[in-house]
Amino acid sequence: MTVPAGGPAPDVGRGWFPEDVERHRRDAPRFCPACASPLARAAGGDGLATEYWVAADRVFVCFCAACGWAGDVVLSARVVGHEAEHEAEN
Amino acid sequence: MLTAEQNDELTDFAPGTPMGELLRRYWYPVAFTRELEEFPVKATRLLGEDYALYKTASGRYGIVPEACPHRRASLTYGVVEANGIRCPYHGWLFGLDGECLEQPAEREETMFRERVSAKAGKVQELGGLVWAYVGPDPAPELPRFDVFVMDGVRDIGWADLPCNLIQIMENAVDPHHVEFLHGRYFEFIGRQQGFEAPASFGKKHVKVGFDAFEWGIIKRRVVQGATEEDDDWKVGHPLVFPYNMRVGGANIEQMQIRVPIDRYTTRFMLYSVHAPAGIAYPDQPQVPDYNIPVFDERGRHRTDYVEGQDIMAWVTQGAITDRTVEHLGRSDVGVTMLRRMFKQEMTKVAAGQDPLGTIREPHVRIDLPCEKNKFHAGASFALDFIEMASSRFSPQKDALRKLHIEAAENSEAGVSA
Repeated sequence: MTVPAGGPAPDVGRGWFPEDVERHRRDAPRFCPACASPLARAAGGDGLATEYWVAADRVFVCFCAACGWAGDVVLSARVVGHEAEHEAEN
Repeated sequence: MLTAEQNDELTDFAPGTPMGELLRRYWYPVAFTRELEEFPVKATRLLGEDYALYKTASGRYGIVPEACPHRRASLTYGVVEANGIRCPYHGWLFGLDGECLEQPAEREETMFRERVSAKAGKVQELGGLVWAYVGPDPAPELPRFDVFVMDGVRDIGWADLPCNLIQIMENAVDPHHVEFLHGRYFEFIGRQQGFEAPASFGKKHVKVGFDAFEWGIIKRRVVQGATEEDDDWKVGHPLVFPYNMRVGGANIEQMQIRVPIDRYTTRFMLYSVHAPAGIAYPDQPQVPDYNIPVFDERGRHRTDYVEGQDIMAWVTQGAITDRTVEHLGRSDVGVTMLRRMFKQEMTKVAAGQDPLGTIREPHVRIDLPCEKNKFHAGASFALDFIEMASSRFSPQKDALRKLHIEAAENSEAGVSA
């Protein structure tokens, strides 16, 4: 096994998704919605944003180490509502 | 998906890193009890650091960093004495707390030895394992989880795996993998190799759920044909933060232990207690431990047993899986929850607080929630497990099988032990 010398080595030889990597870095919440502290470590912040997908929606599961806020930020492609059923009109 | 910086933080256990500081707040099994009975000192590696672990003739344990503070020779070749370990090179003697007791070639009146000590950790024995704590004082209590203290027949399969701990732990909050990796894939391999895979692992998941609790995360599932009233959902089983998973079913109680040897290596241990009711358990002066195979003779992963399939999935993700190119879906919410829990607990440690699962009070036993009727499969799960999981490599496999069959027969006949 080849052991990387520094941090985790990019896994580029077995299937690589540079557009998604870039989109994640671009769209992940940069600041805490509660206290406005930076979240991204690259920006000097101390937070976490894990992204998962639900159909066209992108959900960022966040935590801010500065204030302890935890919550999800959702980038929605479409907002779908519902309406309670009504009595049939005579 | 994470950024590279976040993945680096999550997987770096070096001293002084957020994750390294968090993981150094816990006790880890670093040897089998029998090893120090066979020879009183051994090398052990934990969280990327090398140690000499030893046991004195009176039965006291100690652990110190491997390199002698004098000229860096290895204390794993040390002389175990009544009150500590002596360096084989120039005879410096270090006590159980790391204090330097003797420097034979130095003049005593200089008191040089008071200026040099080894950073000793704490060591205890429990359940056939030797446990070490190498973090800051005061050390928490060693948690006496149920499987380590309960009656039954013990059995430990293990392997050292070339991958990071965190991707293994993420598997512990990923219920869906069971029906594919241990269901459809198992069936496929069985067809290729001429055996029948157990049906109990292939049941479709209808619903999964996760709850944070005082020891980690409880994982729940409803499989096809079952309801929320069944054990898999009503009780579930826990990821025991930060490196264990408690599992079981059909009178086999198990802790899956994953010890972070270093950033790229994890010791995987299957600590099982076979505890069917209504039968007398044989004495076990020593708990048997045995290697479980990772690779076959061609260097391919052995995937003809349950844990071999897990190992294949963990290791082929890469030494440290590149989370910048993963694509998580809704079914991976347990994984996102665990990552957030790790981050929250890193933050607590940085603020000087005890992290999740720290126990300060002396205690006798900690019972963990764990389903009995696994996969809604009934008693047949025990025999499936012995035949098709890591126990098939156990030197006591036949005796374990017999134990469960006799217990079942006694139960049917109304006999009690």
